[in-house]
Amino acid sequence: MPMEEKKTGNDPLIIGDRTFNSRLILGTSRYPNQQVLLDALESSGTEMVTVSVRRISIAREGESLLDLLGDSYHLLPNTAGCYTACDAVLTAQLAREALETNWVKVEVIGDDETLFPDVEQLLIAAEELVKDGFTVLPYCNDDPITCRKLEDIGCAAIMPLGAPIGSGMGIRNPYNLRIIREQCRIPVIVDAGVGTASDAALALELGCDGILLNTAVAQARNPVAMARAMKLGVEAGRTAFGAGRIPKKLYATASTTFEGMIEL
Amino acid sequence: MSEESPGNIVVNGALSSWAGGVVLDLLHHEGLNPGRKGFAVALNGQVVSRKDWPVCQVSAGDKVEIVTMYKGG
Repeated sequence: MPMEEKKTGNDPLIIGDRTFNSRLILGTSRYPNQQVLLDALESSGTEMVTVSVRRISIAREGESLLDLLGDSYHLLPNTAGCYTACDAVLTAQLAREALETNWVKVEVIGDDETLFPDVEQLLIAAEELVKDGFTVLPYCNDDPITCRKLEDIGCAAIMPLGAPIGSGMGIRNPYNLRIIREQCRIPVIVDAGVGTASDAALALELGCDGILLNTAVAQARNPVAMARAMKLGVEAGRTAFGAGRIPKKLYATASTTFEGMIEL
Repeated sequence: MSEESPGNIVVNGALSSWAGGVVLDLLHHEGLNPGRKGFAVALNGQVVSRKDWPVCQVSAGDKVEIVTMYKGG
């Protein structure tokens, strides 16, 4: 399926009923401190950030993340740590109640070493949440069939992993991402695995619509600078995708014409 | 003292003595400000919407989850 010829690098990302000028979604965890978090978010140009749902700690009640972030960002609650569809659905419903948002990043983990998704449980959770009126963004494998099923269920976007969460391994299977992008009509956001700006650029060059990342920025030596690099990587990748790269060839083609060469 | 004992409920996984009342009473009992935004309550696995906090009864043996938003990826 040919992509539409409108990708300029400045075209907005549309997910569900919302339009974003930034194609970068950032997590809010694992930063050295709150000021670095705030500075990195600003430096990245992101408009949407992920947050988690956890039991309230009376001792920590004063440290409200919502107060910290204010109204500057669209909050995307996740269901991180859920191992069953049932837990993910309840977590999403609690997030909706707490944040008054029907958006959710659905994560159903199948294994605590790899943090790979449990596809069976993910599909069950996604279907239930879509029926319940949620705008569902599922973290999923880079498997075209799973992605197609999630689209058919009614998810607003699909979020295949580039590599395991927090691994920084980059885009492990660019060919699958290309197939996913070509077969799905909804936005494809690469979620997890990005380690540096060139990984983000590659994902966008492949035609993916955006990136969701956390550790690569939060744990960088200079998170604020890396946030800026990710912003530029995403913009470069999107622009290159729109510009259309040349085909790869095995042999050389001279850039400079041989016409008019001197003869000895 | 088991969680099924009369007068006890489980709040966020911890046993808590409970004289009875509605969700709103429980939030006060736990030292939370119900007017504060950004948290939610589930009773026995079902979300209790904010508008129902003044009327939804919490009974001995119930399991309650009180959550809020934290940093996440």
